[in-house]
Amino acid sequence: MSGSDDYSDEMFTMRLSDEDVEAVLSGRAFDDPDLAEIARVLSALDPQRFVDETGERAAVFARRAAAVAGTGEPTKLAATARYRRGLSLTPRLAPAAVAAIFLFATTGVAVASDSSVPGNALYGIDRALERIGIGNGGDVERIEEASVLTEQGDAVEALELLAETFDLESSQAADALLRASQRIRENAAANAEVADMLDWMANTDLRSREFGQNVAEQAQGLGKGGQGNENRGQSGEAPGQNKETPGQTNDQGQGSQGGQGQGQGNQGQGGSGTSPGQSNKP
Amino acid sequence: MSIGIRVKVSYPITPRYGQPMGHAFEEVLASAKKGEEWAWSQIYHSVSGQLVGYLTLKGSPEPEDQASETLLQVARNISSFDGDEDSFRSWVFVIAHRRMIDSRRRTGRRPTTVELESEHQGEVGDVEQEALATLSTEEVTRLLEILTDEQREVIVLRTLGDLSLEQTAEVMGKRVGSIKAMQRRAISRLRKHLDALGVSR
Repeated sequence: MSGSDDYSDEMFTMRLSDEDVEAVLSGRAFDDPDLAEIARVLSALDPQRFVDETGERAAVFARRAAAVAGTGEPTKLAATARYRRGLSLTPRLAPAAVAAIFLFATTGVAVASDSSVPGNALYGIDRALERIGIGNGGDVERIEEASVLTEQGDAVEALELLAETFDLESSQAADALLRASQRIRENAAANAEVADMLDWMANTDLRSREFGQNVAEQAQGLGKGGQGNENRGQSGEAPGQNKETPGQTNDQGQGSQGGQGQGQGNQGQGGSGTSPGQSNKP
Repeated sequence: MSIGIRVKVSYPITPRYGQPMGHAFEEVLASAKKGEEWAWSQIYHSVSGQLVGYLTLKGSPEPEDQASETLLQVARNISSFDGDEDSFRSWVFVIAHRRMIDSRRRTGRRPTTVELESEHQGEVGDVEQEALATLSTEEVTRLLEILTDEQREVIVLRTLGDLSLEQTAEVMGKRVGSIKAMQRRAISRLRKHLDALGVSR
């Protein structure tokens, strides 16, 4: 492309108004004639092109959907056994997951207000969990079910569910959940720190283990005076520099006790009717 | 005795592909929560075209299947949803968006679309220089490959998905300002590309 073309492009970009951008994307009339061809291209993005005119898929789907409608809603802890069977959370990542869950529980509506979606206020956290590699197949759905519980104001119950869920794979995670829920009760003033951390989580290029380690490290400082955010973005730093690394300090429920031991622990902490999420509502 | 009549009456409108449910949405949602098949058929008719299109443009290898799976997840979690039709559609795309991310992580593969570094890196196919009014889906897909993945998603959600700025921001987990910037850059980039192809002016 020649220099004059570049100049022309620059001029186009500079004069492109927000109104025209909105218009061309919405199929409305626009002022800039240079948008005409773009409008023609975009008009080809027609959902009618992607429909199954035979109706066969619709019929099959409708039968299946009607059969499963509402089954994803957590049915209290009675559903826990089902959750356990499919569990395959990666133990080494569990602390980060706990951190993420803790983040949600401590921020509740504050987090939802920043990245909420209809029907699921936990989108940001779910994305975070996906980043760190948790949630192949049913795991994501299981965590989502706990998310729904939390949305419904049952953060304590969600933590109980998650503690039992994690327990089979990682007693460290289950233990960290207990401590997280305790901290939530004691300190619910970590919103700003959590928001910063979520921003970092949303923008970092780190993945999997490094991401989880960094999140865990940051999360450990949450609610303790902001010291946990100092390492943000330093991907190579090892976790555990803070004094409380999940799993190191507590041997409760190491494997053999299974969900029962953890469940009891949670119940001990779970008597409060206060929802951490609600308590942080701005 | 009135059951048969009620079923018939409660079917608000004949399902039409790609059409919003409008005033019928509230009743469709309530019936869908009860597991009534007609309501789910209605939902499928209303959103599947946009959903399949979105997944296709996102590079899904099996967009129809993925759309069905997405809507089944919607069905499973429908009890937790409470909102209007716009919110519902946003929610559907949120789930689709997340499933795509999940799917990519599992397979370790990028979508079938590619991200080009240069506006002129792609082949200038003959078909792109033909009348754009008759662009096929494949041709549009190729044209949109000039955009980054996120720019492409914004454009697809805004146009094919018919989502607002705010809804698109929700689906992608970004701020409205970011979406505005991305769509602006996308339009500029598309225009530059079309110009280079000799079809813009």
